[in-house]
Amino acid sequence: MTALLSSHVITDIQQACDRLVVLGVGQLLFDGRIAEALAQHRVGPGSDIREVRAETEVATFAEADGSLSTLHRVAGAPSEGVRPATLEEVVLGYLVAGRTRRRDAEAA
Amino acid sequence: MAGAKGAGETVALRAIALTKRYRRRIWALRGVDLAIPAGSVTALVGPNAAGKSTLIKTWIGFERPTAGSVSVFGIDPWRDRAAALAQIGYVPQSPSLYRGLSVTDHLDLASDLRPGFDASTARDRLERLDIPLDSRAGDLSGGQQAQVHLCLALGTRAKVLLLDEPLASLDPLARREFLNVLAKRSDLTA
Repeated sequence: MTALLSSHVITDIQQACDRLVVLGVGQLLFDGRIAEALAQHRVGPGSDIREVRAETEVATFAEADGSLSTLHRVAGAPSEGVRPATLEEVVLGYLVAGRTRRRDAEAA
Repeated sequence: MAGAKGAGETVALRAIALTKRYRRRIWALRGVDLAIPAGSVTALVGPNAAGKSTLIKTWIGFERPTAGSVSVFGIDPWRDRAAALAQIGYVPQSPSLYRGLSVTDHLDLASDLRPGFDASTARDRLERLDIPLDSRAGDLSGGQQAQVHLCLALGTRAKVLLLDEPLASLDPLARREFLNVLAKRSDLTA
């Protein structure tokens, strides 16, 4: 049995799914196993200053309390003040990255 | 088929450079490459109007790619829709039951239209969920209609389930019950 389940509810996805595909306005933003996605990403404090962006950075997004967090791919990610990413943060990070790329492309 | 996804893995759903454009201007999908392995349960996430439903509909042959291609176990649904659909159980985003027909009528209809449809399993599931089988579909709540759709899709015993936001209208118990079915791959074959 193979299933593809579209949903907005991350807790549902974590219960039932082993893979994740993130789509943002027609473009594929992420495709991979959920266990690997969680193992390969970290979250640290965010900054809205573009210049300080590390190469490992996927995107910076606002948490529910308004503070900024940055999603990093693990290899080479800063080790101070980072913690494992939640699935919701992985999804948010890639959605924000996709939106930023789209806006940059439109502006260019 | 091998490469980064792992050697020997069978691909259930494939998209190659899939592009869909509406009325020449609105891009629903742009160059999407995907290989969903057989046996996986994959979440499809994205904002509204991200193209999720369009993507799902290309695999059932409801949408024709503007460019690129899709396949279901190697079958192009646009060239051989019947063969592709035989592999698929589909639950649309909004319930599309026949309002005037009862739940039992829907089971009978599915049995007539779909070879191998497992009406008794579908009926057992519906009874377990307290869905009144004699009710007209139009008299059921939105959540109950979604449950009927899910039971019809499960009853197909299809190799691939395409579920377009099936959980949104379900109550917490019904939702948990269905997620357990997916997570355990129970009530399902192939």
